[in-house]
Amino acid sequence: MQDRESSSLTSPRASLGELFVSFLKIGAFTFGGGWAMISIIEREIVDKKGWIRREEFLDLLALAQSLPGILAVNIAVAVGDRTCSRRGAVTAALGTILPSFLIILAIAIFLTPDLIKSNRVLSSVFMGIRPAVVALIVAPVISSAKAAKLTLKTVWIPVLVALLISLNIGFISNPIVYIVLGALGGWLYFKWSVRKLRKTKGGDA
Amino acid sequence: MIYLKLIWAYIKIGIFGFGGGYAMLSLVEHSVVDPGWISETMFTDIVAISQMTPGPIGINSATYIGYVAPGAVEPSLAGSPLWGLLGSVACTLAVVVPSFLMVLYGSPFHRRTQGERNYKGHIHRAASGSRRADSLCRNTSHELSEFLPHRTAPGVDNQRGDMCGGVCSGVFSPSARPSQGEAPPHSGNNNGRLGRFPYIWTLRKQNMTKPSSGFSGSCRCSHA
Repeated sequence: MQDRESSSLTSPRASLGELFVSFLKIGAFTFGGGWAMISIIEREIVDKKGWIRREEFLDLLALAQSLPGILAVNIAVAVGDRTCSRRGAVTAALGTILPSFLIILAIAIFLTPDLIKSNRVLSSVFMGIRPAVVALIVAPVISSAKAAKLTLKTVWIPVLVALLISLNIGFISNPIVYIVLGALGGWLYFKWSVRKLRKTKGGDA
Repeated sequence: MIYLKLIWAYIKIGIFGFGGGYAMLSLVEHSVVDPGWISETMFTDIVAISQMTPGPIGINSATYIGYVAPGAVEPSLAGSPLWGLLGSVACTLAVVVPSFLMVLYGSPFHRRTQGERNYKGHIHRAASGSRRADSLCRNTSHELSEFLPHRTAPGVDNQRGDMCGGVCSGVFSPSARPSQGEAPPHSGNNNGRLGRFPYIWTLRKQNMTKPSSGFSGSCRCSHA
């Protein structure tokens, strides 16, 4: 109760309906997934409506980004939870999902795989699109490789994992294994570096 | 049966899909194409369609795959679009629910560590701390004023008052100085809580020839 009072003092209260409409608009008019959505969510929620302060939004973004799942939905849930607690989280998530769900459903109903195969125009259109999809997937690979600061020493890890996954042999090519292994490796490295730091500090003292 | 398999596959994708849409694609491909629910070319087409339509690519592909997969696996389900609708609802919810729960139960933790409530609690503690310090300060400064001569040079008096304030805010309410951590507690501009102590306030007013610059600021600070 106190929490709610304090937030109403600092920022205008969002009603569930407003929250839903805002995220519905965001879900319906943003192309290109996660990061394209973030700037639009920020403009709508922070600048236009003022439900959340910018620093708080950046905190929520960090939270949404570090958790698995779809980034746009995560940030919607976090923003909804912050503005209207649990009901707001559900509302914001549904608002984000609903437009793309309905649009894709309409497309899926009319654009069945059989239609793509049998219609000559459509099949040639998709023939042309397929190479472009490869480019679409390679582009984020390059940008995330840059973001991960791969060097010659570490570049073998993603290359090896990609090869193992594409070999397609049972357990070895399960991506989940590598996600868990990567998390484990990061944790062990953290432990190791903390211990190293403590040792050097102890030596100095 | 295929629905349960789809839901399970998409829950796994939701739990392990770090890094957003494109990073999830390999996981989606592994869990949807490898069991033979959808062909490789169909998957490529779905990625293209997901990219061309608005909305997050993870949701788009989940909806489309959920619609197509039941009909592809069990031909008896291919006739009516209702089965596809059921599949797309199941997949879309399954991919969202794990991260939804994680954000919801990660979010209160987050709020507890950095949010409004903590900030408010901080101020509450600061206020009660300064109230306690207030009563103590009355006594201390009274005793101090007995010892120290009353009307001497303004610099000395200033020193005395500040010393008092420094002792009070430093010892009795260590958390009562949220933003003034850089300056030492007994420096001239850092009379933080003194505005709240009527006794010292009047004492200083009597003794000082001109008010210090930090005075008005200190009043506002104590009410923040």
